[in-house]
Amino acid sequence: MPTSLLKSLAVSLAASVTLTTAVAGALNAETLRIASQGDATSLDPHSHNESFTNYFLGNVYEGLVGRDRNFEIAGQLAESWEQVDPNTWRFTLRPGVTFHDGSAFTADDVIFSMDRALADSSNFKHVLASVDSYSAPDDMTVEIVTRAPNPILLNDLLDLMILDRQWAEANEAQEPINLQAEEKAYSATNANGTGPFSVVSRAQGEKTVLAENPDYWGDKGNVTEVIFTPINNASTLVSALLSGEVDLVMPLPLQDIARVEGADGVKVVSSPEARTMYIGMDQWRDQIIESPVEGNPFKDLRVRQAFAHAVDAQAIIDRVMQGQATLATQYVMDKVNGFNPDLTRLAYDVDKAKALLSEAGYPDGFELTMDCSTDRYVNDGQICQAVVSLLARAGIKVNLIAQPKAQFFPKVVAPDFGTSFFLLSWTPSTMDSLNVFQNVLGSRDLDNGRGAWNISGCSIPEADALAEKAAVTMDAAEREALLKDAMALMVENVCLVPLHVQQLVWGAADNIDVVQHPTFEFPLEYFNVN
Amino acid sequence: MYFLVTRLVQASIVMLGVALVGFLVFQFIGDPVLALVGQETTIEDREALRERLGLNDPLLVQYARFVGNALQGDFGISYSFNRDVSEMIAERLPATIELVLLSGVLALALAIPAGIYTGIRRKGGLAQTIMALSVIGVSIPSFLLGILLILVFSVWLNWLPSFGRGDVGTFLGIRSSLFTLDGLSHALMPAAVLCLFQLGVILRLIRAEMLEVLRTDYIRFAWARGLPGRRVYMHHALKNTLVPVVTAIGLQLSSLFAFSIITEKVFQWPGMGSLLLHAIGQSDIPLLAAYLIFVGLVFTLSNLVVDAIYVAIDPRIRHGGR
Repeated sequence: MPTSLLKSLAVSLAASVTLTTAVAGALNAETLRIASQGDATSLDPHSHNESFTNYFLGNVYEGLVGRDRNFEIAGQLAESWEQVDPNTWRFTLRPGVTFHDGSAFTADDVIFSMDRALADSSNFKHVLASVDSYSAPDDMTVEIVTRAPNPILLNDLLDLMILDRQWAEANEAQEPINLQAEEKAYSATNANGTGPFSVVSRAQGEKTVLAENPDYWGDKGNVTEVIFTPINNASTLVSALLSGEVDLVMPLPLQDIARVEGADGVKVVSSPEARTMYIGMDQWRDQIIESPVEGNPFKDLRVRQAFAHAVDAQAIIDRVMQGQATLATQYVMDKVNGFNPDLTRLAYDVDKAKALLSEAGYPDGFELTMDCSTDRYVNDGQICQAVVSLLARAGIKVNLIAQPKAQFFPKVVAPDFGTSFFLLSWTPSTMDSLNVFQNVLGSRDLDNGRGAWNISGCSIPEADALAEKAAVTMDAAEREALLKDAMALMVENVCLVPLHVQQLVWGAADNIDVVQHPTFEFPLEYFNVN
Repeated sequence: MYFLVTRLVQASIVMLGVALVGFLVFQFIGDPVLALVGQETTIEDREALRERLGLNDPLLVQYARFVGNALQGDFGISYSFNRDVSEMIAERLPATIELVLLSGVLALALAIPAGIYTGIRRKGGLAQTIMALSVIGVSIPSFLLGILLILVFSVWLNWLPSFGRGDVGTFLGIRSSLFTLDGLSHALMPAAVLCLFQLGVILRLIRAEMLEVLRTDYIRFAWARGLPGRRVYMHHALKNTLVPVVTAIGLQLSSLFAFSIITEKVFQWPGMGSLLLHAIGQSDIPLLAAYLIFVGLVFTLSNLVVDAIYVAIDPRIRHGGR
């Protein structure tokens, strides 16, 4: 019995060998096989605002404007635009564009998509937060009127994907997926956009196949088919790349960089990402929580400076991030509008940190608790462990609570803001630092939608005023100067301790040309298979 | 009959308990609303969503609603997939059943003959080798073994695909990837990993039981009567080892469903296990609850079957206990 079984095993082994070779031979040179640890959560472009989902769908759906190969804002479904007055924008639509199902794209579809993005169940209402009204004077024109002058309306519109009204109505998908029971969501598993690729088949968590849109209006690389497979397990993911079963792995797990670099036929591609990591310190409570210390030491600027001096961010980059990160001087990275090149970091200097702590009245340091997620950012758990041991050198005893994001976020976000010391990060989706002031750095004013992610409760009214002014300043240079000044104020006050800017690291077969954007977008139309 | 009815009643009580435990655990797994919305969603919008999902109702109300719906096969709509949970489980189930069946068959086909053999020839070189290998099978964690197999057979030798489920074929109206060569080549490594632990356990159990039984008087009498070896081993000895062995196999095979979580993750097998991991990551409560109930059901049912088989094997159980 065992021998015959062994024999049949051997037979099936041999058979599978010939089979895999056959598959490899039949592969069209223009098929791109991509694997990633996650999957898009939905195909509905207005339902889940999650970066991977947005950028995946960016290959299928388009907005009025988008990013070109060089990351500049360029017209997609809008061919051109003009500002009629400070509050009114007129977009001229691209003629002759059709959706994947063949129906024509008109201004009515834009109006429909904007209505849809504002529906109750939409997760993209913020995109149109500055918009007062919109209309379609004719089939090829759309007018948008803002409440106040909005200098970054185009950035806001980047995330507004356009759907076909007829298709949505025919499939009862007029509203983004509503999670109320009884509602099935056609648009969660089907898509009909104008983008360079259409969805051929979709099995969430399993496999998604895209095919090129032969009627696409723009330039496109030579990729004709995309097979996307999520592979959760890091080592399986890398094995699939090394064995030639996939062509592109994004992101590549940091611990496997050396393995891919050492292998033949594959390469590592990396560039800075728009995500800035930082440590936050409670500056709003009179008594910090989960700590035996009396009062709130962080209200003293010297203590915050001491923490900044004590944390050796370069060591974290070298050891924990395997060199795949760059030092952050402020709370945005250099490609974000409003980045201030004149700012520098407080240097790593333990003696200085100790001296500052003594001056502030803590010669022997103090004890506190740090909250940290373990599965949200690249190596987040290890970063926190490094911070804990670095702070110990300056006499600060940190009790680390490392927890899955499912526990971490409910604890630290609004309304409780239940932490006094934590690791977090932010990517400004508009690539403009105003977004960071509105969400993370601006004084908490939840009723007016400001500072919902200002967990540290830091408040510099002077910077708030500068940011508010920038929000309505149309002159680009003047506006940028305001944002730079506001950033300088935040950094001077050590609102947060900036750590590093993550690198985007992908693994690819040698014959694949990719384009990386700092926002993790993967515009497949610019990719090539050689 | 009476015996089976009492077992059925016990089983339903167990299932209600499973549902309660599952329901309570998932109250503390994290906030699904935060997993659903983006970083720029306002606090009011989050509250409105919480209200719509019924997360603000009292716990008892939520539990009653949950059990009521579950009885009708309705586990609600998955928060993260926006689809019917029962529909998704129906989609993923065949892949897991395939894997469990293949590895179960592999494990039994190898363990039973090897167990009998090592029980009879316990001093032989081959028997010693088998025993040594079975220790390895029981002690290597399955994820490690999976990664090793991928490294050897996919990366170095390039013989077998490293991830995913292969093409699906139809045979006798059943659609399964086990009916195509591509499908089998995909299933071989995960099934091997999954079966190895069970193989070791079942093998060692059969061997131990055989050794025990072979020492008893009636086996000596059987030899004394001059019966052929084959009849003594298979008829007199093996049959009397079966009660504990069947129990163990029943439990082991149902635990394959639970073990398959790790194997499915390593090989990106699109079955129930990878669905569960996704659900945990997203705090997808309806999906998690349905999975837990499903696994509870598998265990309860397989125990019922095992009990029924006892009755067939050992008439003493039918009359015993009273």
